[in-house]
Amino acid sequence: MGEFKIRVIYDLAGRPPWWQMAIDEAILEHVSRGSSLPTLRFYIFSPSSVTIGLFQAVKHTVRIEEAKKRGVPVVRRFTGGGAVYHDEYGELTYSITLPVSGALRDIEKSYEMLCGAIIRGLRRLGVNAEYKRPNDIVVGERKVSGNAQARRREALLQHGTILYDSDLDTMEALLLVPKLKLEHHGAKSIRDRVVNLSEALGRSVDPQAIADAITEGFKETLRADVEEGWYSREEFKLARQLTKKYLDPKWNYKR
Amino acid sequence: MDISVSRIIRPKGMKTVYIDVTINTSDCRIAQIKISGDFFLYPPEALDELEERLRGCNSEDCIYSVVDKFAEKTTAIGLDYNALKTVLAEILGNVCSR
Repeated sequence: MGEFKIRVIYDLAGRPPWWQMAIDEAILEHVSRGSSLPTLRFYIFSPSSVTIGLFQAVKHTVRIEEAKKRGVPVVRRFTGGGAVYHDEYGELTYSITLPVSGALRDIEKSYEMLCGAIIRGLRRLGVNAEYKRPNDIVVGERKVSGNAQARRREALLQHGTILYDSDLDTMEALLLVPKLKLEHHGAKSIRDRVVNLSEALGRSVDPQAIADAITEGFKETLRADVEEGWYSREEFKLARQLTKKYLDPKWNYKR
Repeated sequence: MDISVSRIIRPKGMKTVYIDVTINTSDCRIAQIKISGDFFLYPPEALDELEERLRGCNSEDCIYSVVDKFAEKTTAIGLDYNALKTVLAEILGNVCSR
């Protein structure tokens, strides 16, 4: 028996970015109130979307005209970190929402611990993934997962991206990355800096298999039992309200 | 007259930080400032407060004092407060010595 129970939601049908951010925030709110179980969620953005970090400026981060031309929505997250291209057919996102206690109180250590669960999952798939402080998971020197965390009262939510077959040409066309950042990572382009699981594994892999492996990683890391479930009525209700924020240009273009 | 200056900083081991600042040269004050980037800050609403407090600063002392107070009550990952205040003071100094 694990030390506590985690609800796992496999929501892989694909939903728009404003909904994905709204339901993540709603779950954080309910876990922080104690009205929802700790939750591990897997989801896919549909249509393919860009999310930007809470503190990022759109003009420095996204080729917005290109995004408009391609019909790619751009939404600001409620977590920090960098811009992400969520390819509907090549990227899986997870979020883990937990009450904050013990080792999770220290922010940096909590990133390491929760990224450790992802790494365990990826290793189950056969990928030699490693943690790169403060918020990345890499294979070799290339990033396969970026992660970001928000805290509310006595709860935290960490969400992150898992690239498994993302279109890196589209990613490069949409995201602006300063030379300074690429040089810092010893890369010349985004393509040098990131890697898909399919490339790292030398075979195709489907999102459900990735989600199953990562679920096992969290079970081991958190010594938790998992129970498959779905959103509560209250979470849905709050998410519907929060969707307005993530559709509002005042929020998305705040910086 | 207003002069706008943009800088990107990325000290070793840190995240990328953009500083977009407008200085009013008539009284040498920060008229507008936006700090952005892929860093993490807890609590997140503190960044708006930092920008608000930096607006109106007209000296290195003011910049250092505002950033130091902000650093005490926040946890930042990837945002180097020393680099931030040094660069801001440098921008103010450069614009105001013209």
